[in-house]
Amino acid sequence: MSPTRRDFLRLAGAGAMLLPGVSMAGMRAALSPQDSKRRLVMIFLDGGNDGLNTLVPSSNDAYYQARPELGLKGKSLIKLNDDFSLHPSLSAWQELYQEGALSMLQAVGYDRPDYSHFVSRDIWHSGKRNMTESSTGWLGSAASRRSSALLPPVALGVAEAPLLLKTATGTGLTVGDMESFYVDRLPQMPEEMNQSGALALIHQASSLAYEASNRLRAVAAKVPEGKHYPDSALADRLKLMARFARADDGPQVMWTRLGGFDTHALQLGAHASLLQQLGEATAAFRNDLAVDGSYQNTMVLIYSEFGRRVAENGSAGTDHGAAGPMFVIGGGARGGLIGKAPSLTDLDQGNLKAGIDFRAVFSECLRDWLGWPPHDLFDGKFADGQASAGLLKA
Amino acid sequence: MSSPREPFVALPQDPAAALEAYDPQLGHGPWDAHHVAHLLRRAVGGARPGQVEEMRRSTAHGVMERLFTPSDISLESIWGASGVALAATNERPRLASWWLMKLAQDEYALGNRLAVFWHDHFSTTWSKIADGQQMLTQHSAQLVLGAGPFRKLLHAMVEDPAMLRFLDGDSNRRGLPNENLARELFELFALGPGNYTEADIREAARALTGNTVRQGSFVFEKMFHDPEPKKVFGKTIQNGKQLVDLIIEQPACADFLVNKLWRYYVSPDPPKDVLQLLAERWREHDLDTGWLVRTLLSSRAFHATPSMFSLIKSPIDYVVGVIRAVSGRPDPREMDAACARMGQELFEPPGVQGWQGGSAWIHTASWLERTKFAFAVAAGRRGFMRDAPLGKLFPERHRLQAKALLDDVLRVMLPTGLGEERRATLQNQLESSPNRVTTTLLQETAYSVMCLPEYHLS
Repeated sequence: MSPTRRDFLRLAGAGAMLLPGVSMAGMRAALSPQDSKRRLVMIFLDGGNDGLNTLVPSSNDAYYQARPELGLKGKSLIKLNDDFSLHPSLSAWQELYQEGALSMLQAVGYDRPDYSHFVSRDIWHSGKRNMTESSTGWLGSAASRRSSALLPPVALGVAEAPLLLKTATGTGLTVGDMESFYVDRLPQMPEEMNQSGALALIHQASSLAYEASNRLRAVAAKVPEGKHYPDSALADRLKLMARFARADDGPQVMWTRLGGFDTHALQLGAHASLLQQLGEATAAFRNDLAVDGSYQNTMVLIYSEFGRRVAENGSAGTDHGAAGPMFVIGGGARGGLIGKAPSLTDLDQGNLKAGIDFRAVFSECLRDWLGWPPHDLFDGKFADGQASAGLLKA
Repeated sequence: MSSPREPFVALPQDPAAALEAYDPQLGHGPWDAHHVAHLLRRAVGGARPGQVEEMRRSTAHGVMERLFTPSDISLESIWGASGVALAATNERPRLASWWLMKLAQDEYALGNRLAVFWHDHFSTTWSKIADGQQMLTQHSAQLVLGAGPFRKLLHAMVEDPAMLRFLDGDSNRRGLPNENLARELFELFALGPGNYTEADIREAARALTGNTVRQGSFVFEKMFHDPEPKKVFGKTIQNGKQLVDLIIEQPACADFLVNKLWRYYVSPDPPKDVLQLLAERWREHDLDTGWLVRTLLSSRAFHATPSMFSLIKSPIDYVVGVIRAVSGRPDPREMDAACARMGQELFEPPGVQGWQGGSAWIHTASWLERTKFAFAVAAGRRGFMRDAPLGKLFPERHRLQAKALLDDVLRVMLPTGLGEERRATLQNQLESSPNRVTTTLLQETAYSVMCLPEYHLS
């Protein structure tokens, strides 16, 4: 049997069976046409974004005391209210904020924070505080419960497969750029036989690659490229995501990363440049989708594995911290500041304490935005999938 | 994964037996193409034409002696001068291509493939350093010291200019220390998560103050050094040198490195009791990495059937392995470009944690790039086969017979062979392939073999 004739669902490693405990109401919601139009775009700020210099507590003396060199002040700050301002490089978000299209969740994190990039990143992506070798990603697991021939979540611009998309049987769908997302010619492929472990995983990825390259190219071909994007790798990826998001049969969830946030030294310039890329690219994405109103169906979620230490270090930088803000652009979210502002004086080892657990945010997005049942994806008290961060409009 | 004809070699239950040298004469198992090809893949990146047949005629011990003896005229002395010249251009792809060419030619088990392990372990990125000379200095230190006592390598890396700049050690001053290097030294370089406290990190960062870089070289600046004593792991120390010696004394250090090297050389699931014994013995050998790698690659655990094809090839393993197998003399820049498209650029790991590796190498985007590389090699495109077209490797009389041709290609590319049934279905497909009109059967066969999932395992 040629790979092109295989059932796409099986290739995606997505078990079609209903899992115990999935309510029929949940399944109907998951399959309703309205929900299948909804899109979720995730942008991971890799390295630990300095939340305090992104959403700046600009009237708090404790902030300026902790950051004599790095504290942001002056007229260029984008004032949101009496207490908070945005980093000057995020001027592209000012309009979004005024329209209520920008939401900011304050002090998002988790209990007993880990200060390792890699451990913390894996906690955010597995949805579990304690991981094992066989841990999978919460998004990959959520998608594998979906039925029919829907495209699974797609990761853009990754060198290695992210844990977030990993399932027990596959590493997920990834795309570099559409220009190179093809195969010269299908090689001969003998039928798989009793394969397990790494061999089965490679077989699955190769079959998915041959199939998905055709499907995603067809999806992208239907939608022309948007205009007025800045010149950056992130903007290029968002431009492609906008095409996927517009297509009826495109992937519902898209993920990418922006690296470079581990600003231990000489932070001001590097951080400003990263935030400018982020602000301009996401605003262009939003304006692109606003042309036909499809931004109403699209939510952009921006997060990082941790914030940074409240006090600056001696290298004009900041060391690893804990809780930090999450940013949400577009459809469905309430807009404005959400959650309690973190104290800058009641700290845990010099770091902000979390007020909102990231699993509550992801549960809410899956359940109430996409209609994907989130039970059993997260651990501890989040296992029932009922948690909410109060992000979405009632 | 093993061909049905191959006898199953079990992993000995007793840890001491698992670490014994594999000796076919003592009945541990066969010394055949299967075992020789396995050893060559892991030790140097793969067999060259004829090498498996030749090494089968020698003893396992004799082959190990050869692999662990540097040649009289070393690769590094031949390539050294061009490395310096390429580093001076400050262009990453040039120095990466140079390293890939060394990898494609290296026959020394403690040479360039081990250096890739250390580059991944002590990751530093070209994009932050932007200095070819410093990247080459780090590479040379990892290549030379990486085969000896880990203590020396760790001292060298803590004082390595590129590393100090990469992890902001060069701006770590008394008063307001920068924790970056101290944290990664514990977490990623020497001990692993869970073997230190946040307080240990803060104290270690203070001990490292004063270590900095001036005019591209390491210096100790007394005025930046915190003169107060520091308490790490309950012991009082003063400076970075004492910190490194203290780290080496921690039991977690040998445990951590033995585990990671096992996963690079033997299997993804090291048995705990074997690791424990190996770590004990490694301590007795002064944490000498040369001893450890030789012990790993000699061991009965290494030659056990479950260890074979248990690892996923990195882009470098895959590209270098193909070039070695076909004796290619490729355009070096194309090798680097191919690896980069598959997700791995030498001198540009994704961050201080190095490459995640394993199953993360395999995903749809990277898989399509792997097939494109195979297609380019088979079709003789992109300069991969400049002086050695594929046809030279295979007897002409076999060109039109799928069965004989497949046997020939498998012998060169995948010496272990395929299971009989899989081999037969592939042969049937090749015989009935409509593509024979547009390409030769030889190219079609080589392409399909390189795209087999089996080919991407090591």
